[in-house]
Amino acid sequence: MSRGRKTAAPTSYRTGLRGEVFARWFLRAKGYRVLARRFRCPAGEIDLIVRRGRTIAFVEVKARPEREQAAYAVTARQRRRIARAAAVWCAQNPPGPNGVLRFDVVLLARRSLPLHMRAAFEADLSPGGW
Amino acid sequence: MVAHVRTVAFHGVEAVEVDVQVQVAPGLPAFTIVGLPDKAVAESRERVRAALGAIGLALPPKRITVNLAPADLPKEGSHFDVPIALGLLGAIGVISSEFLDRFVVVGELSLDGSINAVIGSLPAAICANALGRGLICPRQAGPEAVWAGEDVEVLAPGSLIQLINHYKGTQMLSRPEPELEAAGPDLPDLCDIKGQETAKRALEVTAAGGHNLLLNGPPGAGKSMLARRLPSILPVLDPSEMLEVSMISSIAGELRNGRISRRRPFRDPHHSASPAAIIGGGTRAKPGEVTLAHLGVLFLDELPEFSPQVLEALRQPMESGSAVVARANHHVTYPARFQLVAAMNPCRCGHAGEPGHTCRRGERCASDYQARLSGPLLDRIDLRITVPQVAVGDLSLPAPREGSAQVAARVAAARRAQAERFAQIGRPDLRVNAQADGALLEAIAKPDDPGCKLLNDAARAMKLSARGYHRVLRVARTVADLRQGGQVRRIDIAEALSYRGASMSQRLAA
Repeated sequence: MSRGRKTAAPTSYRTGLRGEVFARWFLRAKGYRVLARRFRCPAGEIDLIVRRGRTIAFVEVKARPEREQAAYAVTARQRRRIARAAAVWCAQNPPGPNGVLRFDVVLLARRSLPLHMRAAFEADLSPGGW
Repeated sequence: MVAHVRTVAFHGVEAVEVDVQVQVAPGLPAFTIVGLPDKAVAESRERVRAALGAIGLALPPKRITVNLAPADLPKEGSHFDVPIALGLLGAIGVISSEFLDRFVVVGELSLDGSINAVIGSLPAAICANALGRGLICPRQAGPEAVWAGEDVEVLAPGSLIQLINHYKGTQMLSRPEPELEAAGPDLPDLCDIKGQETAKRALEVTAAGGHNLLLNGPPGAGKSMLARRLPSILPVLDPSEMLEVSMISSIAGELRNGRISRRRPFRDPHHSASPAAIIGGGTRAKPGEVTLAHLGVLFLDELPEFSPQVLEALRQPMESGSAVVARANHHVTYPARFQLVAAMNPCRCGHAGEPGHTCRRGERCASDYQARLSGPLLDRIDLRITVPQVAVGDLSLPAPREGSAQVAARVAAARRAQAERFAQIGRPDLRVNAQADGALLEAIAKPDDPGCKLLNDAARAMKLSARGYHRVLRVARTVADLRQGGQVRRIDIAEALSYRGASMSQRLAA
């Protein structure tokens, strides 16, 4: 079976994309409105930015065959990149004085429901963190 | 909103007030601690997060900033956990600021929300008292903290949830009971020693006047045995001394179950000790052995085996009664008014000067070994006696009638006489003759005429230096006090002269 140029992209990349689409629909079903997806800036990137009421959540989506692997895949370095990108996004779209900001993670695994971890981590604002 | 909780940082044996400010503000969720925290303090955020989770509270997804003011004072230790947790509870409205304002808080959190013991609860309670506040401390430290005074409100919860229940009024915490260490009969008694009457008498004089003592003798003569019996004839600590000693033990974490003891401390460091272990110091300032022996006895066995740096470092604390630790990061003064009791052999093989013994290395054996002790150090030791080998006949004698209790009574009487005298001449800060010096000493220890004559003759014949002359006077004053005799007499001078040691010490420190 021959492959075209588009399908030559790495498999993990496609798995990730599929996972993000899945997570997006999952969050929508939970009542979140998607503000941005695949937000990128020089400081880092965020898979999904969603909102429900006053809460704005920066969501990292991880898809792995097993859920534990997905949980471990959110590394400290990645959390820092997400936090930095979130700061950039907030500068561009001020959340207002009452906005509650949160960092969430959605874990996807084979043969199981997606797991939405609210307030999964915090921005590392220690002097070395930025 | 900013919540304030008071806690303390330790500087020497003093507790310095620290204000823990907790702010919960909108923004990217983060938990930051600022204000010169060391590693143990910075890690407290993980313990606080887990402990709050254990009692069913999650940290709000907001920007949490904890400031420890004054911001330029380095904060060390793990006792900041509970103040930070209470500050957070105050900031999110679980506990009112009126309640928090009434207390100074110390304690370390476990992940399950229980509160672990920390060092220094007693100085913290004293600091709280000075600020007109109560103290919240771990349950184990409660008995120790209530010694700070009747009017200090002390809460000693075992866990965070107990404290919150107390605040809500559903489960009140009672005040911990102060506990004294039982005055156990396990101190070695003086009546275990057979013979060695001269050494026992010297030990009595040492105890009565707070003098330093050097025991010089062959191995097996009972030097260590004698030294270990000194605490049994020393008077117990009076309440103010007890507080001083307990504060040091509290800082050093040496109080067992928060019980404080009326016994004088007895410290016997091994001769491999480093200068920092003896004087105090380290990257975080810690009290050394001289401070742990404050108002008690520092026993250095095998004195010449200690490193020269250690021995020379002892000179300044012996003179001033305090140990100053100066480092780049901190400058701390610890109290160190101790009594030095040292034991040594006359030479490396241990038997120099005994009849019928010749060292293989000859004269050099003793002189080289004794040269390890410097003149200035020996100068500060008032009593230097030779402890000879015990005669075989003495060992088979029945145990002596007089034990530690009788000697202790005489010592206590002599100490009372000294304290009264110092109070009369307007120096209530002095406690024992060993602290008297110069003009003051000449005023209180003026001998009668025959005594003066003997002292002057001896000074000429033995080539006493000015310091040596004063030392004899000081010891003579104590001997007279033991006799309950008032003025120093000829016989007291004669006894004091006999404690000046053999030829070796005269050569090194006239």
